[in-house]
Amino acid sequence: MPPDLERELRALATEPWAPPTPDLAGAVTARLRATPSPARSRRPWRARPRRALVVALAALVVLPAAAMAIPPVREQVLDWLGISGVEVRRVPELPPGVAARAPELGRRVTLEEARDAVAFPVRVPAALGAPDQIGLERDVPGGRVNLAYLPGAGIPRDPATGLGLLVTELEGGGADRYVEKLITPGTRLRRVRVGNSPGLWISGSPHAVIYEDRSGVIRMDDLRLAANVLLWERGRVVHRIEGHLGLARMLELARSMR
Amino acid sequence: VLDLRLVASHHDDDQALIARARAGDQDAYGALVARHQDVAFRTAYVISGDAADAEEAAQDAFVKAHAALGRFRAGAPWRPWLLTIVANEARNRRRSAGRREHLAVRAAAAEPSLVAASAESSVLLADRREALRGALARLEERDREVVFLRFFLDLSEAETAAALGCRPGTVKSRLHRALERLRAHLEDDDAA
Repeated sequence: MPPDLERELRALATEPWAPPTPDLAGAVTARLRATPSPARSRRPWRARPRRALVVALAALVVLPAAAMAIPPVREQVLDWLGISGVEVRRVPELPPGVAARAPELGRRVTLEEARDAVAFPVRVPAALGAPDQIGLERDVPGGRVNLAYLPGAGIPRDPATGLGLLVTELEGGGADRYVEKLITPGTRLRRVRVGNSPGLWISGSPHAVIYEDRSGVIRMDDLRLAANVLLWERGRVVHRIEGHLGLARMLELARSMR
Repeated sequence: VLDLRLVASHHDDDQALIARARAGDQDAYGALVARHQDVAFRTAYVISGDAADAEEAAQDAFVKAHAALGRFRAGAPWRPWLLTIVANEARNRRRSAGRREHLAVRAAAAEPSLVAASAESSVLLADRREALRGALARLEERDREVVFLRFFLDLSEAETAAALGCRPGTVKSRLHRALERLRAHLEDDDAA
């Protein structure tokens, strides 16, 4: 390669080519101060060979003999959610470091902005009306939208987070996506249908989500609400409602999503 | 010319700030961000091609890096580690090609005054710069990224590799191919 070209490029680089750098130091310290437990709110650890992940998970996923008496939950769930890459595994206990905390909702946006930012249709439970806060997480491939509702009439408060309900929507089905949901022996699972879509009702004790994003980074999701979860897939979109409500009410809310 | 002492002292400063930040000193982390916000923002800008996305990506990356400080190997250089996180954030925000600003095009539009003020010889230089910008704009994303990271941001090979998510050994060959294609675009211009 001609060194002239390199020199020319370096000369060009002395002219303005990028917008001025915003005050990130101020913004970042403000965000850290605003978060009660700043460290380890989410755990992106460096991309490793997949084998390492499998080994790590194998260590977590010890199926005790007693659990084998339970219907083979994993196969049962893979049966229908395998398509979207969501896999549910029963573990004796959750990995250390998982604790209930205020969920990170992502950047605060309006509904229009959220709909603009992601490729999938963002639906809102009509039975609840407009969310109190909408968060957009862009670090999840394809984006993830969080609709948060404060506690109120008929919506109990989550003691750990102060929130009432959390509705999450993201696009599933990426062949390269790896999602694993870890549940403990106290967690109950039940297959349900939301309209024509297959769904899963997770109730009882807390669970955690581990996934690999498009860039190969393994992430452990926040526990979010330590509450009941209705998870279902409509088209390519995975929906999740979390809160301290019973199945009947959750299904009602889910069916009102539009 | 590289002043090794300066590099070494910067490295020491980073390590001291990281140690304090790990111990819970948020001001120390703020100082660390201030030292690296330029390179983080510009790396994110090269990858995302959009100022707002770059700001969001860099800001989130610093917050995540803070949360992950416990896993940072003390004594290791901070910049490649940071840039890996920044680049991931920026890549996840990358939009469809149509909505991107296109670095080189943007730079060209921002700078008519330089041309106006120049004497005849520098007008020629300005033409050449214009041609170079045009050729940069026609590069494919992959090629443009490596050229900007190495020559505009002046990242080391290791840092470029971290930002591109490839092995350091791959950077040289990718850069070589990118420059060949850039030169081919320039020659096409000359022929036209």
